[in-house]
Amino acid sequence: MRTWPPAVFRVLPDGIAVTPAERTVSVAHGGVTVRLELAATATAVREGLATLRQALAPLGLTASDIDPVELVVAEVLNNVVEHAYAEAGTGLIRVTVRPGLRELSIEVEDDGHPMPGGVLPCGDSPVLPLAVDNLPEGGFGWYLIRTLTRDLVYTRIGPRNCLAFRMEIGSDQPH
Amino acid sequence: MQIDRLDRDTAAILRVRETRIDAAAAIRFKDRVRELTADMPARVVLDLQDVQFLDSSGLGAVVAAMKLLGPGSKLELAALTPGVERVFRLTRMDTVFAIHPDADMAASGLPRAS
Repeated sequence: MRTWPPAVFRVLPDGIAVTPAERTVSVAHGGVTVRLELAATATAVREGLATLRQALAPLGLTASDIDPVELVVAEVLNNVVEHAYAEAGTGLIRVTVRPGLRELSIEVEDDGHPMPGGVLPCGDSPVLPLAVDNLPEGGFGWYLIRTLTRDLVYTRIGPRNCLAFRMEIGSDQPH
Repeated sequence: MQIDRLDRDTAAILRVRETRIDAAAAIRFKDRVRELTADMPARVVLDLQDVQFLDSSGLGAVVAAMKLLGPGSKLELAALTPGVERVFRLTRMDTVFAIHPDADMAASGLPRAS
């Protein structure tokens, strides 16, 4: 079985020039691994997600496959920016996407603070209806991650956080 | 964060002219909505036809915008794209907001189809 070279994308912090050659990487079909490295800032996350969409497009995925992937990866990256690297201000985040036949295996790694208690937040959905003043303005992120993924596993290895999960592609699931 | 206000018969329409309400934009979104609704219109329709992506930070900002309007005003949503609709549906916030297919229809004063 042929091994495809991994496609590597780097989305660097604000103000650092990136050449077009580094940004435009063609992705071969047939199980190529997409690797994305980005700085832990809200703007780098936004750019990283656009790069990820671009990298996944040649895999023949539809919007109904890619939209939930973008949403889940956005939620995971936002958590890293806002919590793991909150004190440091920034840091490096690595995203690895391994396409399979009917799913994507995704890993997000960072060297920030561990999850409090070493476990993932439960991500319960709020019990609605609530009065307008009592509606939550946050806490939906983990609920969305848990709802849209399978096999969600958090590990802390030395100084590194790793969140791994799978997402179905190519099905007519209602999500 | 570009948001335009158009006043119609029965509502003020706020058209968000951005493709994303995400973590990078949530605070500016909230601030801009606050500026545009300082006169507390009784009914505000948020026209999201241009918004392709909304994450949980964006969702939180929309909820915050509704709270900012206060008890005398009502925030409704219109023209959700599929990705945005999914976030409201999965979090069941589609049960909290009135959601219209189209902002002009929502604000025309004509009886609603549903």
